[in-house]
Amino acid sequence: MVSIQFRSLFWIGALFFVSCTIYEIELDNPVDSEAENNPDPPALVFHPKDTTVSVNSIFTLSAHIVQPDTGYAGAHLNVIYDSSILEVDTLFPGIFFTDSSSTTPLFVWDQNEESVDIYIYFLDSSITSLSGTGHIADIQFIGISAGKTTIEYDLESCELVSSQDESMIINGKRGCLVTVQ
Amino acid sequence: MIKYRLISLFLLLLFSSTYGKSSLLVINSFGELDSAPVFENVQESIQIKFGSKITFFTSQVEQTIIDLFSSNESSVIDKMEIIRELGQIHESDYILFNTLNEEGDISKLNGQLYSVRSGGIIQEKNVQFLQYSDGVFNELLLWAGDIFKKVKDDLVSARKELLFPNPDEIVLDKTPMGAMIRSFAVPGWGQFYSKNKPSGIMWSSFESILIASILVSYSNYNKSVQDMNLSLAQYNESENEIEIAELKTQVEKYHSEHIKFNNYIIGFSAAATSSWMSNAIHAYFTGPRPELNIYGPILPSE
Repeated sequence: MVSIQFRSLFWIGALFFVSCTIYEIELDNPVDSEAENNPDPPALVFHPKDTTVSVNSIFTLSAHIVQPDTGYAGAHLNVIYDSSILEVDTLFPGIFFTDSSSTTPLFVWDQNEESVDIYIYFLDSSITSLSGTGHIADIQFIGISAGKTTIEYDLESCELVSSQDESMIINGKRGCLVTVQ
Repeated sequence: MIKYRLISLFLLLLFSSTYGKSSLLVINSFGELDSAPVFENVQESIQIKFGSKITFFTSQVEQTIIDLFSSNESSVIDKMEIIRELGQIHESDYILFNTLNEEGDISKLNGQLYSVRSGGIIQEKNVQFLQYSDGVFNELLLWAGDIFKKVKDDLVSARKELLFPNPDEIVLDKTPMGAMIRSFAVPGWGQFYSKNKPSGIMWSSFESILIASILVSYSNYNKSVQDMNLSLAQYNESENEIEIAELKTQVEKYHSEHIKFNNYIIGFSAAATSSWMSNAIHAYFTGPRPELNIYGPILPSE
């Protein structure tokens, strides 16, 4: 009888002393300048930071510039990818340029064997430069074979320019991990 | 109603070895007492049981003195003065004042031993007992034995003979353990079981409040977690700098809220558990218990 009571006591205690889970949050949106894993701004990043797609399916990767020091008028992005896994389908200019101008920005891209060069320039007559975090371009890829790869910027080839065609500093970059399955 | 009151006063000389060669003045007030005549034998019995050197005389005491002793409203100073005065008149060192009343089957004996020198009370005894054959007589002698520090075995035996002969055979309907088990199951049940209704209401209400607080905290915790996950998903999806900043603030707010509510849950649950256990322990200690001395059936008086 006594042992049953002490067992009951234990279970009542155990029942009530159990607490709920405390969740850890990871605020790691690449576009957030204060994200945990982001490099110091100004930086070139992709959004999303990782994605999983099926073979032969198309997915879109957004290229962003995070908090540049001053206004910029154009950019050259050199994006490297594994051509055995991915293939570039098409590219679009980012909302940052298209939404703030009544004119279509100059937007050209050049696909190489394992990289793609994107050139975008701001052509507005009244507004000559933009500042702040912005969406530069959308790149559509096709997964051609299964595997894992990272799409990266080659910072040595990337460039941001002001309206006076002065080159601006880029402190860091952040790629996108792609899983094709 | 007092049928009659037997008030007697007698003096015991050479009072006990405990108090040296002292004298004791005894004042008895027996009201509403069917068995009063037995006290005619008390003096003789005390003399036999506690020594032949004790001598007695008896006289009636004024009713006002009895009332002064009996009344709770009398001031201590008045009592002390009366005690000193009586002590001087009767050349006694101590005064023993006994009152004995009957309420139904219960007899109540109150004895107070005063020091004449200080006027203060130095020993007191309250006894409540079921009437038994010569019970009042026996209890008075036991009280005298306490004072004389000479409790006679035959008196103790006489009292014990009245106890239930086989206490192991007594089957108790309600036990402290039964109360504790019930309070383990449902807080307050053990107290209700023990006919302690206010206590039962208090424990069950208190426990209900704590459990309700746990449930409310848990509900708030769940809501915070859901909101946090939703905001976090939106934050991860968003590519708009302003929206990201707003969602980030929300995520952090819900995150701190879910920690806060979790702490509430821990706090309330700890309080509820402690209270639950305390309630069971309380039920045990205040649970129904038999009287220490279980008397046998009372014989009808002749």
